[in-house]
Formats: sequence, C-alpha cells, structure tokens
Amino acid sequence: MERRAKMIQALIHVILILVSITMLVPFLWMILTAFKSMSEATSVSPFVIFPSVWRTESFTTVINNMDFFHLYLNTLLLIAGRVIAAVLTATLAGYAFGRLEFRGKNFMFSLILFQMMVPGQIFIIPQYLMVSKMGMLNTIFALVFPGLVTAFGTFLLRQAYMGLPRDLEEAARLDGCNIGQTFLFIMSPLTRSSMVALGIFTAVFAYKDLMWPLICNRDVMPLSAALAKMQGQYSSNYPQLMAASLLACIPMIVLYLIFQKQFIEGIATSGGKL
Amino acid sequence: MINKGTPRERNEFMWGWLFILPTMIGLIVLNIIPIFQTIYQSFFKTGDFGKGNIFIGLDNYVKLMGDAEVWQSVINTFKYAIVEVPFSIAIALVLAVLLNRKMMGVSAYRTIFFVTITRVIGGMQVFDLIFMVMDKNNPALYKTQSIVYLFYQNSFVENNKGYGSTIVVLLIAIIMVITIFQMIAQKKWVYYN
Repeated sequence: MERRAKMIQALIHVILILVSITMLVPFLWMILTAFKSMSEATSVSPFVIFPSVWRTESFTTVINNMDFFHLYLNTLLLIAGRVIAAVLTATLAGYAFGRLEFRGKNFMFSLILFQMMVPGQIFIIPQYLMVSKMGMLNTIFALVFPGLVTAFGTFLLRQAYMGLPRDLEEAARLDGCNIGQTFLFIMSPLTRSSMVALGIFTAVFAYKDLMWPLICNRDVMPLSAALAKMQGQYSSNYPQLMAASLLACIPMIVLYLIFQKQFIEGIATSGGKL
Repeated sequence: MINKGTPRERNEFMWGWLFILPTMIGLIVLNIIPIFQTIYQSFFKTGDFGKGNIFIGLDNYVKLMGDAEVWQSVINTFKYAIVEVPFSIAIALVLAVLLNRKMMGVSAYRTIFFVTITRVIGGMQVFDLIFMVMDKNNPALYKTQSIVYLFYQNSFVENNKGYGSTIVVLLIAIIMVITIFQMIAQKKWVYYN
C-alpha cells in the first residue's frame, strides 16, 4: 500500500514537471534570445539554443533608444489610476448590491451582469470618440478611462459582502451608525482580501491592455503598446525585442513576488482567469 | 396617501443609489451608451470611399441573414467555446487539486505556474489568439474566424462600421438567449440553501 502511494506521488511529480516545463520554455527562450546576436536568434539550422557569447548590446541599445523611465511611469500611472478608481467604485457598489435593498436594484444589477457578458472590443470605437471629443487623446487620462469602473469588480465585491454575517450590521445599527458609517468602519475592512484581489486583477489587466493604448495614444505609451510598436513591418530585431520584453516583465514579477499570497487567494475565490 | 415607504426604506434607498451611482454612471457612459450607439450604427452603412454614413434601415440585417460567412463564424465560435471551456476548467481543476496536496516542492510548482499565468496574455478572448495567428490568406480562416473577429474585420479593416455593428447586435442577441436559458435552467438545476 505504501509503495502504491509513493508511485502515485511520483507520477504527480512527473505531470507537474512536464506542465511546468511547457509553461517555462517560452519564458526561458525569451531570456536566452535577449542575449543572442540577430543571426543566432533567427537561425533555423543549426538551431541555436544558447548564445555563443552572452551579448548585452541588445539591452544597452534598447535602454538608450527607448525612454524606459516614461514607459514605466506611464504604466504605473495607468495601473494606479485604474486600480484606485475600480476598487473604490466597486466596493461601494458591491456593498449596495450585496447588502442594501432599494427600488431598481435588480434592474441595475442586471445591467452590470449584461456588461460582463459582452466582448470588450465593441466598446473601443465609441470610447475613442468620447475621449476625442473631450480633447483628452494622448494623455494618461485616456489610458485610464475605460477602466474607471468595473462590472466584474462590482460583482466580486457583492459576493464578498453577501458572505459577511448580518449580525454585524445589526449591531452597528443598534449602536447608532448610519449606513455610511457601517459601510466605512465595519463592513468594508472585512472585505479587504477581496479588494486586494480586485486590485491585482485590475493591475494585471491594465498592464496587458494592448489595443486601447495603441488606438487612443501616440506618445504617452505604456509598456505593452511600446513593445508592440517595436515590431517592424517585415522583420523585427528579435534580441532587442526580447531584451525590451524582459525589462517590461519586471513590474509584474515584482508585483507578483510582493503579493503572491493575494494573487493565489484572489484567483481561488473569484474563479477569475488572468 | 402615496406610500413612500418607511423612513428606513427611504434611507436605504438613498444610500443604495448613492453607493451605486459612480459605478452606474461609469457603466452607462462607458458601456451602455456605446451599445446603443452600436445598435444605432447597425442601421447605417459607410458610403463609397469611406465618406458619409447612409441610413439603410434593415438592409444590414437582411444581408446578415443571408451571409454564410457570418453563420459559419457563429458555428466556429460555438465549437471553440464548447471545447475550450470544459477543457480549461478540467485542466485547471486537476492542477489545482494536484497543487493543493501536501507534498515536497509544492511551492516551487506554484510559483512557476502563477508567474507564467500572470505573464501570459489573456488568450481566452476568442479574438486575440485568432487575430495573432491567422493571416488573411490562410485557407483555414473561414472555419476559424469567430464572431468578434468578423466584427473587427468589417468595422476596422473594411471600414464598414454599419455591418460590423450588425454583427455585434447578433452576438448580443445570442448572448441574451443563452443567458435567459441559463437563468431558467439554474432554477431547476441548482439547489440553493
């Protein structure tokens, strides 16, 4: 019996190792290619895995020619803007939908559900026209704009509030708190993990938003769009592209390392996909 | 006397609407109005040389009914969804269970998985993936393009926003049908405490 358990363990290890390798290979390839020369990167036969010489020119070229300071800054502002706006609006609305009763609530909530189901591409043109009319094209505001509110976030926070015991609200009410105070001091701190989860989701989605920055901005670019623009029409300088991509990955890796636990909790509780 | 509800109800009404106002305003401006604009747009067509927006009534919808490409894309999208959704849930579930066991090296695996997941561009959207991989002359395109892909083709590439909007309206209609079906079915299948 003991032997059988060990065999199953071994098998599970094998599966997990295989899956891990599958996921890691593109990433490793990216790192290796960043240090290759252009011919090494594109050569098919012989197929080059490790660079013969670990060149750092790609990195230096890319750092000198691309304004990484502003790229990081724009990405940071984009993420911060969306995270703050989304978490604030979603937690308020989530509490209202989850715990309060008011006329029109169900209809409003159905609008939220509806928005979650429709593919996002259809909003791009109308939103572009709106930002254009506001004269705010090519700004950080334009980048943040589509992410100011989040139907998904509202849904997530509603679930969180619905899971809290009602006794707390009753107690608060008895103590003389109005709804606002009850929300602010008692209920919302209890949903902290969901708020963090929403913050992380929003941050990751903002970070990888590609089409919208390409459409609405020309100079004020986040990392994602800047990388896309590096691809030439006929061919791309792969080592440089990989070097830039590596540099662009850093914010997310840092974010993940800091918030590891919340990342996993967030995915687990919401069932959301990143 | 008009029943305005108890003071408690009115109070909750006020707070409730106050709290949902930012989100709802955002939603209406960013999403609901664009949907209406899209429906409105579906009754127009772009004139020759891309000039002008000409009202053509239901012509776009007539064209939609007879458009084999659109209906093929509906089938493509369904095929993709029917295969992809159970698969990804099953795989994710299996991995989640495996990762949850108390065993050596579990946190190493976890780190690898989740760093990669956060790094991978959300290929779940049945547009991004197809857009990246398929090119206009690819013979398999007809059987691969999804509804959203066709929308993109029509609205942005062929500059025929009217017809593109019509396709979107079709997609919205399909989603609503599925949702209503799901809501009815939920009442029968799901047992709530």
